[in-house]
Amino acid sequence: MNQVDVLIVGYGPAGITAAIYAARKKLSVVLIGDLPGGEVRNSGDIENWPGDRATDGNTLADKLIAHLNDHTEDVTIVQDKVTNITKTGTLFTTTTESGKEFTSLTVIYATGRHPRMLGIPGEEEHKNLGVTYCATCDAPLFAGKNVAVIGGGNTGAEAVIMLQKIATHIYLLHDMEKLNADPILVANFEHDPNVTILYNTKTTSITGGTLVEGLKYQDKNTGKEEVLSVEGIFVTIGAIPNTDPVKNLVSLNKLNAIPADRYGVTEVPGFFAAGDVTDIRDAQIIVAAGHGCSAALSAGDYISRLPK
Amino acid sequence: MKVTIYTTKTCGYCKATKEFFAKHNIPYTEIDVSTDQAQARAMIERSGQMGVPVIIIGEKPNEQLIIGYDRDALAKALHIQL
Repeated sequence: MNQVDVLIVGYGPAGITAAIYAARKKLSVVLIGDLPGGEVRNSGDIENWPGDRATDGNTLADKLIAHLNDHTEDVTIVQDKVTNITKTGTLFTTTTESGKEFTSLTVIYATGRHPRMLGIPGEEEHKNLGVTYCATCDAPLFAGKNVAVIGGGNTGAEAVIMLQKIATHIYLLHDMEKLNADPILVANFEHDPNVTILYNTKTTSITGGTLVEGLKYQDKNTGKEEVLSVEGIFVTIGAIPNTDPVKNLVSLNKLNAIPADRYGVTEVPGFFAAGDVTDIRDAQIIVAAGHGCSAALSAGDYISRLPK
Repeated sequence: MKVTIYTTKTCGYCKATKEFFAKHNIPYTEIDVSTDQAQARAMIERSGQMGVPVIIIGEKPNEQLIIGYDRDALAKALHIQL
């Protein structure tokens, strides 16, 4: 393929918004992404996307893609995984898993994050065998079972809410004295007799045969090790930026995110970043979309200033 | 080749896998385990998995089990050139 103006990596709200804005500026765009719609697909109910009141991840992802598809004259979509991006002179070269190579004047990197693992004994071998990182996907498989949700942020609270209708008893384990989740979410379950919130706990191992049978945790108040008998464990302890393909191109912060300003500008001229993959404070769909917009406008501005 | 996919309504990777099938004109049977507990148990027994999507390609004794949205594994099992 010939050289394009803007190469966007990421098929979520940030990447899609960047593509729409770049297309409207009549820039030539290639968008490379793996999961159409991005991690949004795995969000359950969404009630904070203005204009939609109540929607869900799949519906919103479909709407974003339909809007993007209005611009296929200027945007070429490539479903693939990017493995490496390099810069030589003023040009970027992007390589994919299937061996494709693209050259571009700018890159907008908007690959989001992936769920963080606990890193404790028993976790890796029980992945998909009771340990899951996607309550939206897998909650229905735990009907009538006792389950644990690890992590008391918004994702954990949303997992508990999904499981309230499905599981028998839910333990929510949190490592501090107070949940981080928004009170409006916590209000859904804090008085539910089928939900036990265990504060100040540290999960130490996952146990079982082929399938999960339980977990061990340390009560940080007493120092004592306790055992829970559960068949499902939903891990919701945050997410790690997907920055592997660019770790030699741009410096990352200590959380592996790409430092970028509010306009998506990074330390590398022509390389812009947007959304959850950056050091932006709020991992929210609306913020990612807005950041993608700014990054596209920044890329357009950068291209217009390149020597002809 | 017979293709069966176990899904839940809310699972994004299930949707992406079904789009992959559609794009490559692969007919498939979908079993939604979020509304059918018996099928959910059957899936767990058949695949030993408690995560969706689970895709079964071919028939016993040569059936192939693919967990999750794995384009490379799907392409290989279905003899598709990506």
